[in-house]
Amino acid sequence: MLEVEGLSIEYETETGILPAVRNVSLEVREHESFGIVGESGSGKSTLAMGAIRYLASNGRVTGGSVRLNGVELLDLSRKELRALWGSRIGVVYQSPLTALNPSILIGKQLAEVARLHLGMDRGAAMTRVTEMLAKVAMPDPEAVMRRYPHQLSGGMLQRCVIAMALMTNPALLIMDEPTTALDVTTQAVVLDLVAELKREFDSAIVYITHDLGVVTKICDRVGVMYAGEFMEQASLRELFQRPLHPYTLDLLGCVPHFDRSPEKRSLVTIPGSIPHLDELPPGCIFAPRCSFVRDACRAARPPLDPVGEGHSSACIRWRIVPTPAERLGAATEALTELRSCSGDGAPLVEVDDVKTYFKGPGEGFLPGRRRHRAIRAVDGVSLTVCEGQTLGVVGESGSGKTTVARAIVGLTPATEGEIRLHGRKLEPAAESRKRGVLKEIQMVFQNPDASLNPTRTVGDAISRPLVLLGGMGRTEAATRARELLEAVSLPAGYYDRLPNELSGGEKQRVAIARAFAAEPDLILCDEPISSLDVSVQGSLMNLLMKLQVEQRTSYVFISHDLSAVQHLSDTIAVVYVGRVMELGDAVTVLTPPFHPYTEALLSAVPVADPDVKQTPIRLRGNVPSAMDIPSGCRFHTRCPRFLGDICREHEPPWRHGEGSHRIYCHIPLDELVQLQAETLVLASTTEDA
Amino acid sequence: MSERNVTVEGISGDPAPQPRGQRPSTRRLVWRRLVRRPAALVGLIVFCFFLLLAVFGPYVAPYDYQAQDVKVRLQSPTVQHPFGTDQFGRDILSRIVVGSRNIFLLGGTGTLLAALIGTAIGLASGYAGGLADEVIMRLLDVLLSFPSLLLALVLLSSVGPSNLNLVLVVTILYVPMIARVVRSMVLDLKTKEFVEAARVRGERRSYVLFREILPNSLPPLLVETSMRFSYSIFLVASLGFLGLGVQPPPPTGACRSMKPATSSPSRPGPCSFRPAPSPFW
Repeated sequence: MLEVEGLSIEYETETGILPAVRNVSLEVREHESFGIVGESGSGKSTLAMGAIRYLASNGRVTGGSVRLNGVELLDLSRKELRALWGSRIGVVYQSPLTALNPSILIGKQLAEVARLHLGMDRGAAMTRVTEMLAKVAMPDPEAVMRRYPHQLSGGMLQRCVIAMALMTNPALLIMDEPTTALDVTTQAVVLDLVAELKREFDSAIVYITHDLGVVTKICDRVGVMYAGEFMEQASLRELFQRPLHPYTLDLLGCVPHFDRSPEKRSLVTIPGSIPHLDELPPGCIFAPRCSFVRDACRAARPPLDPVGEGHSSACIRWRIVPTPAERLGAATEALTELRSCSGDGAPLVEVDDVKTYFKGPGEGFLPGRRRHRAIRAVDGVSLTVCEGQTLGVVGESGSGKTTVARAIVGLTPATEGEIRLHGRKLEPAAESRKRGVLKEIQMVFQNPDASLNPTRTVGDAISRPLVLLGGMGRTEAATRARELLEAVSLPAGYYDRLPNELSGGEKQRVAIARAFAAEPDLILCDEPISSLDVSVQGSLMNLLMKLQVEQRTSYVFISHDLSAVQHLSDTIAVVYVGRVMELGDAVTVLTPPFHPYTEALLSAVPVADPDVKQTPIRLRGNVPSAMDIPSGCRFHTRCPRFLGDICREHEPPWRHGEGSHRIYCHIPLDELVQLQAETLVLASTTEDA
Repeated sequence: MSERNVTVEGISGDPAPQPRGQRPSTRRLVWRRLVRRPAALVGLIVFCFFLLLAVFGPYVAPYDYQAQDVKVRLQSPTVQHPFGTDQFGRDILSRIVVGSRNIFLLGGTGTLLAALIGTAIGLASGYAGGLADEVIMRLLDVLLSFPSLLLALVLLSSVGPSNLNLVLVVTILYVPMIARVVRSMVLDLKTKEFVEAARVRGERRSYVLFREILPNSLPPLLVETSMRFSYSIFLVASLGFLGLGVQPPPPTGACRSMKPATSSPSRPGPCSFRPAPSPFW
């Protein structure tokens, strides 16, 4: 078992010494998993890597003790440590593709661990690898061992990495965001696997994540980190039901909860941002952002003190911290004016049987004879976006959801089908659209780092559309740009800043301001929050809702995160391999009957509430390639409710349900309802809360 | 953006300066960076030294670069002649000092022209893509496939050596290399979201190219151009050595008449320790 006591870690940088982790203690037992939750920059990875003394060259441990099964790691020599790493300590990183050497066969790579640390010969090592791969539920381990990493999907690779880490039955397994880079459905499979392996192997697991939902799936105890210190440690259930630190409470409030009310409500947000490590406040480090702060909090740094059985909190006012339900109720009340703006709902944009095909890789040698297979990224999608409403589009990566948005905005012209704005047909390519049309449709992109030109100031970025599409003069545009900055809750002083001086969330706010500058009717949001921290996500969702109410803009909100989509959307479209599988009001889509794919997505979403029971429906295999779309119902290869030949051979009909609700499935709706009565206990959660 | 990277960045504190207080002016920033990297500072000083020498060369040279003094032929370095003398008794230091101006001018102009034309081609080709890109790049590949000195010799001997032709040859040789660098940047940048945002708001192609893409491709372009500049000095010097460079009387061509073969190898003279075509003579 692992005991960390009073561990402190510093980084030496050009600007001085940064105390990244300060006086941190934790304890993990065998078969137990300890979750470290925190936002980026909170020092979670530094803590875990520092504990096993695997730090960057400018990092050093300055105090404390780390004992693994009684052995003090901080006293070990470099050589002893190297023998320990990989044999008694295993690590699983975020990106499985970079964790494995791309030029060595999987089998050989894994066998190396067995040969080095278990002293096995080649044959025995290979047998061991086969066993391990079978243990991580890898189909056909022998075949996998003869492949190179690039030939496997992300989920399979991550399983290989886990097999590699567990090969020696290590005493400690550190998992650093192992599922963050994976799709929801794959993530669910990997999480199930880890939960199962936890029982089978004797390892103590330290699980690092920013996702409160993931924690509930596999952790027994959870520590919440903030700017290099633990704010609270408790058992999983207790932490979620009765958090006794304001930061934990706020974090929980930032996560959208599944609910069925058609009303929109805002999320709890945390004002300010995580303090920079060289200017920590003197008292409680969370005090500047805390809503329960008193003068006493600013006077001295509160220690992490026990506040109950196996529960400790670094807050002197833990007794007055309300329950999450009270907190949520207060927040909802305070913001009732932000309720649904589903107004008249006249159609604004109609997407009619749109197809976007790309030229695939060619086959054949002679130039004239080369045949190209089509990549059918979008394969007949029809959608309607109503005025002042939000259409949520969900699906796994490779489902074509982004391509649909790009077809609407004209960046990737649709090859077939029609897109109408206010009933008038749009040119497929943005370049051939008139300014008046361009003005009406704007886009917010996924990657905040690439959405702003690094060489132009924030002010330039926002005033350009004002000048170009709004027809403003320069001074007028500058004034308006400052107003827009304030509208997205940024100080007007950011006008002269360059993008590299902004944090990810701030950049995304600027991108939102830029999209709103032209006063468009429709904004396409392509995963605008998925690369950001939980608390930033919450405040951006609030911002999007606020602006929608003020400007009566419609959104197409694309995300793989079903909870974010349901939180923002009036209607939801579930897409799979270029085709809509289910479409309807947010409420009807989230209640039975579901399309089997929606059902699988819902059961895979990690809900940040340990009491939610989700029927484990796991999809086999990977999303099929858009070059090779399965016949009949394209979901039949992975469908848990596969009927038989009818699914394989015939395209399913649209089955119409309540209102505009439609499901693309061979199973009649009433049968689906019966089958799925048990699926979603999600709904009951909100009633409980 | 992986969450882990963010953590590491936040801790090392280098890439993301916190937006607090006032931003230092660009000039101060450049200065501070220079001071922090001594190698860059030394490089800058050396470069400036040669640049000043080129500008003020004739005024600081101890002797006239053409003045012959038969009494002191082929001397080793002395106090009077720190770099020694050639077989006509001309002061080598003075010849280096004066000759550097031509080199800077010819190589510099050629490189600059190449940078301008190469950037234009790279931008257009990369942004257009498709068949046009393919055709342009293959044409440039043809140029690249010749060894540069050989191509320069062929071109110069067919049109005759003159300063203008020298500049043009440098330009022709370096355009493909610079175009390649710029094109690769354009290919990367044109898929970036900020370029797409510009397309979505209906920016003209020229705006996208020159305001959104070009400023972001400057860093590698500058590196490539300065590399090319230093190579162009070698090229002009080599051509001078082969008799196709700057024509006499100015001294870049002078080495022609003092090829190692003409000076006695047994004699310890400046020529014997010179690396073959060194930039400044």
